[in-house]
Amino acid sequence: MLVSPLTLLLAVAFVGAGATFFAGPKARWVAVIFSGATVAVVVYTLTQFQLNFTLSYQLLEVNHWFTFAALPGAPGISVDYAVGVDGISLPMVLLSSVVTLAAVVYHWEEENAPGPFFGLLLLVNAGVLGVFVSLDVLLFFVFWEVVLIPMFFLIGRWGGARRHYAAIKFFVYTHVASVVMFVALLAMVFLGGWGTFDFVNLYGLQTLNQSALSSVTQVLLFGSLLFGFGVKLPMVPFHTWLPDAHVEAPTGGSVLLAAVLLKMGAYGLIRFAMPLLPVGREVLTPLIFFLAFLSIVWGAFLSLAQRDLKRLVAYSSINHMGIVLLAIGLWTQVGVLAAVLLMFAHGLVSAVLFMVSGSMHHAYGTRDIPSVGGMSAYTPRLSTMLMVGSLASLGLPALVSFPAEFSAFFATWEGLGLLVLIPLTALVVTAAFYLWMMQRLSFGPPRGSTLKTHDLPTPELVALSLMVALVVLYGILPFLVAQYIPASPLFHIPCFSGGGGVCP
Amino acid sequence: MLLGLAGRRFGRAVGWIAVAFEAGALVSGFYVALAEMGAALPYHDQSFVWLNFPGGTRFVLGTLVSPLGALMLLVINVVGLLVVLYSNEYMAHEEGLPRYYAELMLFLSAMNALVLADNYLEFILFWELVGLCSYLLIGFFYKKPEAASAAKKAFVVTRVGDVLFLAGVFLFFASFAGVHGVGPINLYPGTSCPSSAPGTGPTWACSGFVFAPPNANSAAPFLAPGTVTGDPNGALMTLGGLFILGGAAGKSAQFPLHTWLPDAMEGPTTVSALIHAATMVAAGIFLLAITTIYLGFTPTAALVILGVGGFTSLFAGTMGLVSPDIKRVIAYSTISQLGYMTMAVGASAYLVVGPGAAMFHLFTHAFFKSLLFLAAGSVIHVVGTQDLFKMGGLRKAMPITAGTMLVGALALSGIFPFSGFFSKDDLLSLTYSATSKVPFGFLFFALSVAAVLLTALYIFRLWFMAFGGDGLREPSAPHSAPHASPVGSPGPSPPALHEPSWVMLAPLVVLAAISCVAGFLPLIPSFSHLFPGLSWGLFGYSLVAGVWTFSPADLVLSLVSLSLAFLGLGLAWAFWGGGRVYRMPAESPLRGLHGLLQHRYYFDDAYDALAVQGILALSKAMDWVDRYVIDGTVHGFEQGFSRLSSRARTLQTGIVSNYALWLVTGLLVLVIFFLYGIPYLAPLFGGG
Repeated sequence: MLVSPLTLLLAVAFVGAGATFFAGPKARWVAVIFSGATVAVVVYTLTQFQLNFTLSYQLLEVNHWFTFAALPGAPGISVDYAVGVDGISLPMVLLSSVVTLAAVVYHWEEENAPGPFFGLLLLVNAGVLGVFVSLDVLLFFVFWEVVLIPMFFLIGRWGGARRHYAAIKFFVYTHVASVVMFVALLAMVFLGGWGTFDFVNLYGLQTLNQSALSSVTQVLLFGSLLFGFGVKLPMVPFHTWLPDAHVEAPTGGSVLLAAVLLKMGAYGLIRFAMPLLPVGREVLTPLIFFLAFLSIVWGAFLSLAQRDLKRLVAYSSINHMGIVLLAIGLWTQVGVLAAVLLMFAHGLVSAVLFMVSGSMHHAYGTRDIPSVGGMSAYTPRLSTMLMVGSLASLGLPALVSFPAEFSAFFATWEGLGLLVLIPLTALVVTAAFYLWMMQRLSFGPPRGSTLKTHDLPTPELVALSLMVALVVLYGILPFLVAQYIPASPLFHIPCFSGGGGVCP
Repeated sequence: MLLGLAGRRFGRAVGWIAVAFEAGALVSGFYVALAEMGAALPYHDQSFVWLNFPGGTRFVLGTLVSPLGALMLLVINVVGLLVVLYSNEYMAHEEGLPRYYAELMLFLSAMNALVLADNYLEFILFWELVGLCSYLLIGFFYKKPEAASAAKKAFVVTRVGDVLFLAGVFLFFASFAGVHGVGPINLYPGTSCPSSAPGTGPTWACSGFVFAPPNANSAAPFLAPGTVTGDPNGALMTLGGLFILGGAAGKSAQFPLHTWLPDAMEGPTTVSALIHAATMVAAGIFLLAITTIYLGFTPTAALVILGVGGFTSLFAGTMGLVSPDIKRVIAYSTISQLGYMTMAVGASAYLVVGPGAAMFHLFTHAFFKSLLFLAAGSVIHVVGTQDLFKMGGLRKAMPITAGTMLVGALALSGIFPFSGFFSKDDLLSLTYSATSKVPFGFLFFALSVAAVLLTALYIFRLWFMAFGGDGLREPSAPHSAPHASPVGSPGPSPPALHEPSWVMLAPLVVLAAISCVAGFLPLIPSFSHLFPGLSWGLFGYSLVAGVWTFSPADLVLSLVSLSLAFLGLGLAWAFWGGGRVYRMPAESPLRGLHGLLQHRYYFDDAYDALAVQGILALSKAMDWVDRYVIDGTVHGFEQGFSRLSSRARTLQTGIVSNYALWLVTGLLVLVIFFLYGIPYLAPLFGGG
């Protein structure tokens, strides 16, 4: 029996989460060891990944788990433990494990029940890793739900003043979306006649699918998946859980939420909805574009209106994920590359910005932008980190978002022509709200309760420095991550635009 | 090229380390430029692939030493070295020097890389980086709210241009690179595309984007209408050209994106001299010039460029007439001169000749304008104010500064034999030949000639107000403590006023010397190679390809512009000479015009009211919709459901583990339903 390094990865992640949960006061050490070990396994996985092999998933492990004994006349359905990665999931795996490590370090001084806190953080990561590596619909959904529950507790137990409201809203909203998504996925499996939940060879089944599913069914299923994944993304108008969840969540929770959880929605769209329901996709593509443009513009303008730094960053996430949705909606090879690259970039950058928001709250006792000023003079390190994060987020070269956003706009130009001016114009607003925020927070004469302030404590500085280093590294050498992305079976679908072949 | 960021730990010595690094950059810049002058084909390297797109498109970071790039290398590094040297005294009393030098060196590196870029994408990358440095350096005095605000304004306004620029590049790329079914077009048969390996698609640099034609002396004819599929009358190409113009207008502060540059004067004067006079603002011109050569503009686009430039040159000059701030006067002058260059690029694009005239003016302007800024900095350093109305009589205390600034002013006004005369003359004669072919073109030409008069008027107003008269009109505390051994003659008037030390004077003297001789440089054959398409002229005689020709129209033009410059000088003397300060009488009919100019034609106010306040109000309204309509709907659903489920209230224990139990149970029901139910229901859906 061949054991994939991914199995090892999941084992380390889940065992780490469990061990940390019950580790008591020394939990932070356990947490950092296990999250470090997770990163190490991911790095090992990267070295084992072959860039030139694009026909299927890599590092596969498929074990039959159980079979549903069907009623007489119905085919038996196999449920497998199937894991593997391709160029689309691998950057997400890397992102998730690195961001988790940084979040653990950031919360080094956590005194409020550190064991459960770090344990739940690691459990979120374990679930996310499971989502990205699983190649079986049921397994995928189990991990998807595993992510939800620890995040609910993180917000509800360690959150801010309105944490119960935010936690319930997060849970109910995203859970409704999960159920819709799950029903649609199951319907695809059964109505499409896959005969298995395992989707290792999914894209080969695509032609089967098209004959099996009528156009109306495809549109309905695609719409359900778009809703299910879109809530997670989040796409306007199903986004209102996000600002509340972010504002109330503890910093580490926000970081994981923005950096990784949002990506699950985009990943689902890329993996299931777009390639498998071509008719539904074609019918609903205008809707995707509309919602993407709406999210981009809405996120940018709403950010401009915010007073709370964390809310501002949350809305800017909506803006960026709107660009991701747009790039996915184009459904070209460059578009998918841009989407994955931007997901990776946004993960790193939003981690920086949410950590900065948390540190600002520690240093000044508030995140209200108008009531603090002159941070450069009082907390120069914090101010520098804020500046790097903001500049990265508004797409400056040499920082990680530039190649990603650039590719996304390039793909948009190829697909939609002059409509690219809509997201490009939003880019001006993005620059404006970040610079205006920095002008008020960092520059000018000092305002606010600056007497008791302290600059970044060492753990926060270490965590932020790690993230900023990655933001710069992948900004200068973007091919370090971009090279993995096309190594995916997705890029071999015959009807994938730009890959040759024509969709029926 | 060289990154001098290592200077964090060196304290005061950081400035001198920066000088050393920049001197190294200058030497290598000279080496590269000399090599380019002697080379038959430009040096070109495309080995560094930055991003590989699926489908074969590649994003390459290449290096290309084109004639224009080599010229820019010289400008950047000569001015750069002098400014860094000057900073050692000028900035000595400021906090945060390592930050200052780090940002300055980052700027110089990015700027050098920009002019060596071999494709538009790489160009954009460094273009944004120099914009970042400009942002950081304008906001250097970050505790001043004005500085922080000006920095933000500079970034956002130029970003409007950047967005257009990016759209323009996409448009050109799409038109040429095969996205719409057209194969990669190699504009220049002499250059071979490195991406010819089978299976690889077009690279960004090899689809009409490489800046390396074998013969730069004539501008590329724009692709004839119909060359690009789906663009029978060149409308797309015109649009692309206008987008590129938008980018250049943002960076080079052309109308209507000019508003950021005067505010950018909140940065240190050294930064104004380097970035906002000599180098970065010229990048927009460089972009237009390079596009003229390697891609070409359609006649319509060329005329729009010409018009925008001509209008800006006069428009900005008028605002320079009334500003009380010594640096802002020079800033308006910069906008106006950049307008000249833009106009000249438009004219060369229209006439399909190389943009040498614009580059020549860029070259001379870089030196005399940074000279003016540095001299103004010297004045500000000593007097401690930027208000011209408080200065006066400084020629006695600061003869070297006064003398060098006079050279700068003469050069700027275009008075023989200073460098500005030659470049402005060549530029005007080129524009004349372009506009004379266009109906109503003479109107734009007249605008630019009128700007000659204005230029002399405002710059000598500045000089007379600062240096003329008997003494300071309103003494104020000097900016810095007196130095132990001041250089220059101790003037009889206020004893605290004196020349700064050689560290600041040496750059002034060097720049003044260059401003005297730079006009003759194109006479050196290898140098003229750097100004493709330039016909160097002197009172009607012009040198084209080594042959002198005479044109009476050019002679008349030279005499007209020279006499206008002298007229401007004379008027300035009449109003402000000898210590006079002209204040417009309150009942003057021109009072309204004066107010209009002082308010900068209300452009800033209008932008603030319409764009800034409007967008803010819109965003607040959207926030309201977000909170009460979208989220309100969500809450409505929630309440509706909770009423429906009031009977099931007993189930809502509030304990999450119970919810989780329900969740799992619900899922099991779903799975079972799908597993066993669907096979029977499937026929209803028409499948399975």
